[in-house]
Amino acid sequence: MKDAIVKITTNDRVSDEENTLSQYSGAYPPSLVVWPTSTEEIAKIVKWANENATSLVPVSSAGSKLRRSSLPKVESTVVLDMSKMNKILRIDSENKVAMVEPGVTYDILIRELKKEGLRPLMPLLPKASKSVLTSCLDREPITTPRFHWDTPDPLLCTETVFGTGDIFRTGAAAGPGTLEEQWESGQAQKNPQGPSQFDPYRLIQGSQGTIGIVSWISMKCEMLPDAQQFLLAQADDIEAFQDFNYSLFRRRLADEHFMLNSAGLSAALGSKKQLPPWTLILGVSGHGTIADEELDYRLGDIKDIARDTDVKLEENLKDVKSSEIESLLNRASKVPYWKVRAKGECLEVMFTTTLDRVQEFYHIFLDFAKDIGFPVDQIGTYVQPMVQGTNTHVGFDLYYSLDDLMEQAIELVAKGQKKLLDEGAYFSRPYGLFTDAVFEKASPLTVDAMKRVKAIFDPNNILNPGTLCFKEVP
Amino acid sequence: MLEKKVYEAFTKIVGERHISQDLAVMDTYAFQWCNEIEGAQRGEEPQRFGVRPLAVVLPESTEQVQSIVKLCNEHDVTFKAFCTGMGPWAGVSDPRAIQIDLRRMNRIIEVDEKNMYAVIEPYVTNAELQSELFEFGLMHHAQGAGPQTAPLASHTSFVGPGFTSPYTGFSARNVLGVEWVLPEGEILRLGSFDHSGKWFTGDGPGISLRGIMRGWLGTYGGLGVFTKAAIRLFSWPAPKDWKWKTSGTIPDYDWDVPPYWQMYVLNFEEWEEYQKAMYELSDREVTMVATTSAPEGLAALFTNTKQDAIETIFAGLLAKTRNYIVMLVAAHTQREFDFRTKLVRLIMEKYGGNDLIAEGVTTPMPMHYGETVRNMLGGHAFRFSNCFQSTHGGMDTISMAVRLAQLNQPIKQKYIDKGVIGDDRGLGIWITSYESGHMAHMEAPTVYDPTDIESCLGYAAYQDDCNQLDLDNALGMPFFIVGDEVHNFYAKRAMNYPDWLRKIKGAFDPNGVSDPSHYVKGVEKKK
Repeated sequence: MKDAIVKITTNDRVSDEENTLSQYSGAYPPSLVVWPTSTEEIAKIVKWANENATSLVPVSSAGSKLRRSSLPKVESTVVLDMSKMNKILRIDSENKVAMVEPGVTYDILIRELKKEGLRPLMPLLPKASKSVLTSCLDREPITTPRFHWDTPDPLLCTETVFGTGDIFRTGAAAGPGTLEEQWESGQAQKNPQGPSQFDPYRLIQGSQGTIGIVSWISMKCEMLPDAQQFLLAQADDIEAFQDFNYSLFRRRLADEHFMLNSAGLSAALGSKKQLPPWTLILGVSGHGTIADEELDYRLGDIKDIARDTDVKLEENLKDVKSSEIESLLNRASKVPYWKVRAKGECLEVMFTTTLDRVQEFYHIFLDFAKDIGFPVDQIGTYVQPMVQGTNTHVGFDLYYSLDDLMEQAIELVAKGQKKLLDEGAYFSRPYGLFTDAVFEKASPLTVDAMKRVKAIFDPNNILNPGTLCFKEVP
Repeated sequence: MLEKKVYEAFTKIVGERHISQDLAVMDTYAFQWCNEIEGAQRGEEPQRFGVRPLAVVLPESTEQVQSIVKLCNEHDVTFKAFCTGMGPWAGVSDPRAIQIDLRRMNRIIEVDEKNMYAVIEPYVTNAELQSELFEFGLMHHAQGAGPQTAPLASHTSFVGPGFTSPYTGFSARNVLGVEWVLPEGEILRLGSFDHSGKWFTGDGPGISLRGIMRGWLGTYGGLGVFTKAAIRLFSWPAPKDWKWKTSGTIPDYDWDVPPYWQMYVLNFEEWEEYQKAMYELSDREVTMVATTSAPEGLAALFTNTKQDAIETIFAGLLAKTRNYIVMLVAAHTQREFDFRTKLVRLIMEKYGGNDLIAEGVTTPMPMHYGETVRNMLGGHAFRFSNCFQSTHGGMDTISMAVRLAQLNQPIKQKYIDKGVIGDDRGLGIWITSYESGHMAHMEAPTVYDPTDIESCLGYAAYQDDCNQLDLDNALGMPFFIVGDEVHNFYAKRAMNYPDWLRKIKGAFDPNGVSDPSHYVKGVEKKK
């Protein structure tokens, strides 16, 4: 196996050393780790894997894996570590778009975009080693729902090696023409749809590496603010923000717009302050010509809505300052990752719902935690409106340590998720053992349709077998 | 004719009142706008009549649609669903085909005011949906085809630009879930519905099956039947106490324009300045509408009869109009209105533009504000010869749209010089931006005479030239690159994408009964 992969790549980019393999170990350690440096190499590896009935798992982010989706679930796997493909291929400020390879991380991208007057649409405090490409492929929610038009945003076009070994460009990047010809004609790989009468980017995204291996993406960016202000509000119950939030969604006045409970905000800030049960965070900005006036009008209308809906917006709360919140945004987490900083470990529960059901699900989960004996003040909660407020991501983070509360955390995740599922929470991005329960709730036809799609793009099941509802192995 | 036993089996599903094989009725489905163009492109004599269906069935429920589709599989009958359809893609292509007319499925199932989505059946029209949405201060993305057409068809199956696209986006990107009778008769519901009974997202769990549902162009009815769609809604920018109020008689009716609305026609001498202004206006989210056409198009937009349009053209419009953007500032508050109108003025000045409305060159009446947001303006283009169709359609950036417009002009002029298409000096285009300027598309609406064979052949040849131009110059994929032969024409320069379409078609329609004429034939047809 190693000789064959070395022939495709080079000796120094293939490893079967135990120390290296152990870093990528999941249910089983991989047999080999390879660091490809081009799309063509990936395609050759995929074709070789098809011929040799070997499973492949692509990995782009370095470090520990909270969700374990990119760790081998079957024996004799080859891991493709994409971190050496780490170029920012293009930044186009006029069209507000960047093209990045899998190994590009947020801090690097933010720095380079800033030079062009841009900022990425990005999640809250991603890991320092988090691949931007992976974050986009995983449908990680972004903090700025105003700029979130459709679920896949900010993902646009991709270059993907399907499980068949075919190289394909999705969206407008497919053609006609090469990338260079498209740039010459004024294109910038902005239209993610198609080509033509299918949307492969929607199949690749959310697939957890089971449809194809992506060698670059283009992604939506936005202009850097020239004037900006943050506003905060606090409440005992998240429902107190509901009328305000729904009114604000309609208007698209704020950029950043999300809520954290006290444990979540405390973890993000890295402090143990006395924080309100819930904090609403808004970032408001203006840019370009009369940026200050844009900021003023946005702030003015937001404050009117707040007054009409009994929400008290302030620049600084008693224990939280806007400047502290600002420091959390548009950057990656410091090391160690903020979710594991306090207790050393974290288990995540995440689902999609509508904002009007968040409080209900929150109490269901907390009541369960109390029953199990997991302290509710160690459950960080992040509520992120998406698709301009049409739906909402809810994330519960269970902070614990290996020698304290681990069993309770595991039990809470297992049973709490089941309870949430039963009550109508939609686990649109299922990870881990709970995945089977999600697909049991889905219609059998949904699973069947997904398998028919899988059979087209990865007919021999070589890509990340054992993931989602794809249990077949090569 | 269908075999008697087959016809009776369909009758048993929908009842005698809701099925027909009367030839006069069948011809109403075969008579479709632009059949003459597709015929000409195939080398046939241009004519409006396409293939006549063997029968038309009118189901009233998803279950009836399912039974019909299963019966089609059983008896090797091709089917094509039909809503408010207009065009060859709405009709059938196979001599052994039926039309599934969905006009009895016309309910608005739900309007979720807070979470801003509506669940609709196939035959709900844009006009009907919007009428209901006013009560909630909401609007939907209505496609450019007009208020009489079905938003479900656009969202699930057919392209999807509209005049409000800078503010409401593109149909394909506004779908939150669908109920979908697959070509073999299974009922698939995408996304959150199976898990929560609500339609707030159509994606996941895991991959999104929206990926095979339609793509950018839609499958034009080639992959089953959509019986429900959940679509996104947007805020209607008007105070809560504002009411839709009209008076007078069509076409010269009056309409109460909401208080913070202001239309502009910003005119720029050169494309370069136009392009910069279009980028900035779209990025700054000041406009609900950003539409560009020819001076002749401007005359058509803001008049109500052909006579008025022609008189306007010769009253000086051509001399004073260059590259323009029809813009609609539609604000929720005085504060928002003041900011946006000031910014519009500053951007206009920055790029050396002028406002043709302020200068009295063109004068939209209050009803034209309504016509704009109702997507009636496209219909105005029919006035010149009772017919037009568009070439091109590539969608990516504003700069590509401008380049397309520039390269299109001499080609179009060639056919104008031949006297086979309407004379707009080659400038007849439609550019609109999407999602606050993140995307744009350009198409070239072109007037021709559908009763004149030379004109039909001329338009068809012009469209072929446009397709070749886009292919050679990497200018995106036009709207009408559909169907096996046309797909093959584009395949080599576009990653051989039809191979994947054929695999999808084969996997989900193994009997090939969902009319493939404007999609593809599958690779795995059983028979």
